Amino acid sequence: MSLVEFLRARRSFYIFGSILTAIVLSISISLGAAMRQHAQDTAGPAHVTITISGAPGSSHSTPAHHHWHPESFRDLNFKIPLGLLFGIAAYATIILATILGTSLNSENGRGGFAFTKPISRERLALTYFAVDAAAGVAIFALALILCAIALAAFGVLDRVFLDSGAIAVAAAGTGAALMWYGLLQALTSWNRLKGGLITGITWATFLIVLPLYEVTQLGPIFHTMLAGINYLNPLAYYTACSLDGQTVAVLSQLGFGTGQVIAFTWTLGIAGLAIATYGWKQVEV
Amino acid sequence: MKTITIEHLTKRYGEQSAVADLSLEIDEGSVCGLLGPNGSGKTTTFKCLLGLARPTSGTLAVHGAPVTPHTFETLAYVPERNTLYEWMMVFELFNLYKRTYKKYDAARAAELAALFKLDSRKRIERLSKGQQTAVALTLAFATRPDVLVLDEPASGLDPIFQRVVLDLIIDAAAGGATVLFSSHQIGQVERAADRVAIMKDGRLVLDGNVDTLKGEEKIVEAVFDGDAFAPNGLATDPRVRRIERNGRILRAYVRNDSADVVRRLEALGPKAISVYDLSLEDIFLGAVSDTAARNGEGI
Repeated sequence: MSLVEFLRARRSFYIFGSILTAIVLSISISLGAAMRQHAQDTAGPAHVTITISGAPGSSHSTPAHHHWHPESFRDLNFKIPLGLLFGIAAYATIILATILGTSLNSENGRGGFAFTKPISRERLALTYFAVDAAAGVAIFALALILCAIALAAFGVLDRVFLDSGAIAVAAAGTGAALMWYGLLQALTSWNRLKGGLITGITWATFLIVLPLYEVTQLGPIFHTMLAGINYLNPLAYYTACSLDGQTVAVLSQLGFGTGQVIAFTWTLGIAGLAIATYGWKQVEV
Repeated sequence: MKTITIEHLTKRYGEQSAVADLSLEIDEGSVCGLLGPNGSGKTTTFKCLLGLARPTSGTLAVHGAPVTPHTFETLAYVPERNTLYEWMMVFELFNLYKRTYKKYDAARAAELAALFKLDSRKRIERLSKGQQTAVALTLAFATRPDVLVLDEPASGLDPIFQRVVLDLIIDAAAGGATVLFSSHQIGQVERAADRVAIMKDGRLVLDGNVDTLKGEEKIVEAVFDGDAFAPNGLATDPRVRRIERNGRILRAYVRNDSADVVRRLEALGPKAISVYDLSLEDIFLGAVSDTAARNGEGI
């Protein structure tokens, strides 16, 4: 039965991976264009020279009036902590986790196809979790590769360095993905609700509604209720990444440090999966 | 040896009783047809047997033990409604079964796929309802199961493939498999089953060997010149289980001595009188018909 989830996860990976690739390419092209504009504004009139590769004779000249060269970007003095790339890749993982987070639910409307196979429901659930986790690792890796390609295109890949907070950021980011995945599984594994609908509701709740409660006057009861729900919001734990000197740290809306974010998100994620597995075992078809 | 044992099964959904105190035993190598009107509890019985629904009370066993995941190595289930992954291709489902079942017979699957004219490169969603049923049946039979539980297995199939399915069921039973299947097509059950169980309103109303049930009663049918005739107290005759009156036709379902009932009807001066063996359809209709008709009230 792992084949079912493998095919399902692979399809999601392909679709989301393609979108992600398109986004990174768009950003890279836009950034390149912006930098070229900046160079034009500062370098004065000249011919545009686009270097296709580092080999002599591979340059192309076009009849324009300004000059830009990637070398000018490399001249800037900056370094890129790996934790920052991990932080970006974690967001991609979070998105895929929410797409795959209703995998158990998707079996519930099938009249027991999965439940009449010689595999226990617990083992089946663990198999699905493992396949989805592998997809999460794959999308994390893909996001990192895309970042690396984009940086290489600008000739600054060698500026990336392993900062002391990188591993912690990766652990916190993937913890947030696990937490959201576990939450969705716990919400949907034991019923026949539309998985996609629940996923959409969690996105709307976590991304829009909950952040608003702090800035709107909803009265003390609503405020307390939303504040409570916010403790289930992975994005309240893993809100952003920021540069802290030479390293990257996790910013949490709930005020937790990176270590606490890791502990809470992983614990809540695993608890969600345990609840989901128990609920799935009880499902009647 | 009993392959399937159901003892006092009751399944309630809230206040509604889907199955009420159902007991049924099916011998090894037997083909049991489960008949009943819509909503009579057939599918719920299957679900309880397979662990897909929890019985409110009662015990169920396959080969003497409750169903566990291990049981499904040798038990194949084809549900009434298509439950295949519609986004998968037929060959992917075959691969899935190959990975899942130790006894999966790829050659048998290919043979059955050819028999049902299945295109293995097609997605399930691109197949007709009948073809989807054929895929489900191909997969079920390719696992070489000892027990087959089939809920409306010929649903959506054309008459040619319906016949193929019945042959598969008979062939499986000849090979020692036990088959429990439901169908609304009484002719299919009559052809394939050696045993029939009839449910109504969640209860088992009749259960027995098909040939024995068919031999238990005769239908005595009398046709009169007009509809103004009196059955002459036949409704109270203990040998007459049921009387139907339809215009000029009087039909009596008679146990044991039909000859004497024929003589009593001949005394009424009918235009014609005939005696028939019961068909399974007669048995079914007799079992599920209203109590009033069964008792011959108003005749």
